[in-house]
Amino acid sequence: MNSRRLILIFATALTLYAQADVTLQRAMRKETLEGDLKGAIALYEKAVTESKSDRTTAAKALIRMAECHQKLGDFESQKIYERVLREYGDQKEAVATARGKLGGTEMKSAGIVARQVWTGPKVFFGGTVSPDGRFLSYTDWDANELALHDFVTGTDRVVTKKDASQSPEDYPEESAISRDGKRIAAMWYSDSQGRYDLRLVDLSSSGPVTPRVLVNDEEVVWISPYDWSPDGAWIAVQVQRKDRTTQIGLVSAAGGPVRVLKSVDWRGASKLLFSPDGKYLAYDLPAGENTDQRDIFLLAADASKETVLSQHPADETVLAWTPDGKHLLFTSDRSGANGIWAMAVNNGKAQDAPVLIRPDIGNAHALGLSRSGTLYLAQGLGGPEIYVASVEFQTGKLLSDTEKPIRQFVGANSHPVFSPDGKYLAYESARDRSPSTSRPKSRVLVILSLETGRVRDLRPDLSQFDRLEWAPDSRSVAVRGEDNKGRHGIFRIDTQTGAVSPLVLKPGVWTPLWSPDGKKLYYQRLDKVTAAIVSLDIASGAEREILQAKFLAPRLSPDGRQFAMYAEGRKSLMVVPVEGGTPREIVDLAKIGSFTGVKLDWTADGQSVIAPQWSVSRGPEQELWRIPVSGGSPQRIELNPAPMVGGFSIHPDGRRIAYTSGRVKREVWVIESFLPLLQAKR
Amino acid sequence: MMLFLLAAIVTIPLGLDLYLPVPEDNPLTLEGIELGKRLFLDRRLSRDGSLSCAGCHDPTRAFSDGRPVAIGIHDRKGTRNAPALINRAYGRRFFWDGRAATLEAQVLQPITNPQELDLTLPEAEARVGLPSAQIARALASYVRSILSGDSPYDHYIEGDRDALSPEAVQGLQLFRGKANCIACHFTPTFTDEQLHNTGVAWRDGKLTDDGAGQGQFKTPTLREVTRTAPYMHDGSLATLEDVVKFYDAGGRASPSLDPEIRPLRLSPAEKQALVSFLGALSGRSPQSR
Repeated sequence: MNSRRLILIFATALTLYAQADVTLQRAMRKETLEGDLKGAIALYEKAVTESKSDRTTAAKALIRMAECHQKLGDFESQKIYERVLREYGDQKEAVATARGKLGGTEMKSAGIVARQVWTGPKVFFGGTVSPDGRFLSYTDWDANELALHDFVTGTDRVVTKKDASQSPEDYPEESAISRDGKRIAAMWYSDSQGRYDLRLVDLSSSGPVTPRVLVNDEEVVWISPYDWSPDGAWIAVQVQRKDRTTQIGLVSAAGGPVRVLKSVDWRGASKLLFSPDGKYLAYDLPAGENTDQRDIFLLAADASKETVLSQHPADETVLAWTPDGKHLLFTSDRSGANGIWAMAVNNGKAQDAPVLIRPDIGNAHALGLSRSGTLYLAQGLGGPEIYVASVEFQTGKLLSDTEKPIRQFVGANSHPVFSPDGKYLAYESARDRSPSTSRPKSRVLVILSLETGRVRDLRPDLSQFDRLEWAPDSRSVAVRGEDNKGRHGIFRIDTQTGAVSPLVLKPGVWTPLWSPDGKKLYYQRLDKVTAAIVSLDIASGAEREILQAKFLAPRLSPDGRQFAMYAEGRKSLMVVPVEGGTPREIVDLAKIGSFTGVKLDWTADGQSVIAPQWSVSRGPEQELWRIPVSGGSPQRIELNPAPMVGGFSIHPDGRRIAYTSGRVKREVWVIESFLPLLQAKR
Repeated sequence: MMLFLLAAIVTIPLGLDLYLPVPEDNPLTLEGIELGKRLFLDRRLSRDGSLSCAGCHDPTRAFSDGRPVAIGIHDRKGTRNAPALINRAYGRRFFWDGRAATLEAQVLQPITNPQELDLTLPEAEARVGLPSAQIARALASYVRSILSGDSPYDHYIEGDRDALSPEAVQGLQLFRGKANCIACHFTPTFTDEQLHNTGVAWRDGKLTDDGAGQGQFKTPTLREVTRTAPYMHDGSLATLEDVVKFYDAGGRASPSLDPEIRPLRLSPAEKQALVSFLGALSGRSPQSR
């Protein structure tokens, strides 16, 4: 080899080293500054390829890539950490990170198999898996009935039907299959009663059946079944009563009142699981008033004793009992990522330290463990993003490329609202979805400065909130929500401090609207029987009903003189003076399409309203239409990307619109072959 | 399944949780409860032999004493109202200021308090011939067995819609709604076991009793409330009507007033309905062995 060739090889290697490092830096910028995790993963992969013999850069890129997968909530991260351990043993820092992520007490995971078994628009996570692992109970939202998905044939079967006494709007929401696979207990929403009851479905018939009501109590707001006792005699339920007390109890499969075992924090347990011998119920409860972390408990089914199974400074939720009853599987983020752990249990007490089975399952939660030891997990991927576009509302044409102004927590953000002074965009950010319930553990109100790009996270002292409505001074928002004592109402959130104060404390209130001078708050009161728009004088607290009728999504005009709203049934759009009076129809919506009835907004000039209609018969996809108030042809608004899926807001400049597009992809995964490893561990 | 094993030892009345929290190192036994009951009524546990625990926690008054503040031996006047010992098995903190975390930690303190029974623990041990730890376990077991439920309210919740009068039903709705009582008086025990400043300890801008700090006191149960007058930590309100009036006015203005306390604007009929509902929270009698 001559010297020129040696120099050339050396120079090429240096170039590749430098190129890998540049790509790594680009990937890190894409991840941290742009929040584009998928883009970052592609660049990290490129950096690994380019790094060739630069093992330090390659290992660093792999670790960052795994962290991106972890944030996306998929299973890939574990494989990458394992690859680092396997192939980059000389890279001490990377190996230490990988070990930490995989957990210090990790079980040998070789042989554990994870695979996707169901995805698509029908996937819904309200049910459990049959003990043989063949079926999953879920709600068929096209029929508003209970259905079974067959994992073997890939087919779906509706198992219930309504009788004449039921409304087409009645639907099941959460369900549990009995241990013999022959019955399903389900929490059912009764449209006529405006609350949930508990019903029993007998699967012995070949066709759909009308479920039998087990518990229907007007003092119970909802009653959710979680598991069946092994002998099929009892159903473990959680109820919430009218006074917001949440209780863990048992219901006889023959019917009768709830036997209340224990009253708990109103946030309740995420699951109740009978031990295979029927002696215990396992559940998790919030560790304290001001934390979302959960601890794990066992309660004797005869209510004689409760023991703490795990009290760790981590968020932990129960998943399933192993079929032999010797281990309780639970999720925990004690190793930094949400993983599956197994706790040996004997005679109602924890034995030894828990063992890590799977270090990173993202936001997955369990649908059940089959008799053969296959664990079924529900997983939600992706989510909506906020877009801002310039639109000529008169013609419906886009004026510029659509922007994505939000770089943080992509997939978690929705419902953008421009402030009246046009300087801010407020939006909801639902972060860290609970592995057990898929509900966000923390719901953040984010204020984006459109002038500086600065983002401020506010964590209001509310368990949930929505329907953001800026006050006219752009210093606070009113929201519909629920406080940490479970009380519903309308609350004011100071957008400087995040401080919360109640404006209206009562259930059934919707759609807060401010008068332009900020002296009055209008809101909608809605229950099964009556509905009204109420005016609240902020200074005196005096309330007045200004319109008694079932209208939907009222919206105050920019001059504060009239409301636009949907008539009941969403068949027409109405306007009515703010002082009250006779509503006037401005358009027959049925001639245009099927409108959502959820949201309206006025154009800045007050000449038109913007209303969303469904772009397909079922599902969240929507398109926007401009409807002139004084007559004229409705106009479809161009959006790119389309369709829209959530709220939207029109900027006071009359040209910009903020909206949400994209949706969560639901998948069912199974993890197999881990029980033998667990047994070998003993 | 072997349901409701505890029924053999204590009867859990309708409306209370079937799971009765009991510490692992002091299991509930018939013997323990009986010993605790004897000690509860034993006047030897006061310096001059004139008082027992029951002197301030009279079983015929739902284990309260009917006086504004507790009176100890030699008529020594305490500073706080003797709380009703109802459903304390479900409690999470004890005393008005919540300074004891367990019943076992609570029950000996009135014995050694100079304003109450005024004995040292060695003296108490010598008088009853038991180590103080056993006295504590027995007294705690007895107090755990004092349960109140099975009230008209509980029957109403269970489905007997005639168990409450129409006025009491209106009161229940106010309790859960406009009057906001439910913010602190959670069911089934009608207490959140939390500390709040309602302003009772503040007079003329000054703090008369710091409580757990800034005039905060633990939410008392409302079970048997018609039998436990007078009310509040200092017994300063003689009747339930007075209590409703106090909260209707938004408590008493003070720094750090609990945000849940605010003017209620109740009508006279609404106030009466609330009192009527509170009357439905008494069982046949507090249960104990």
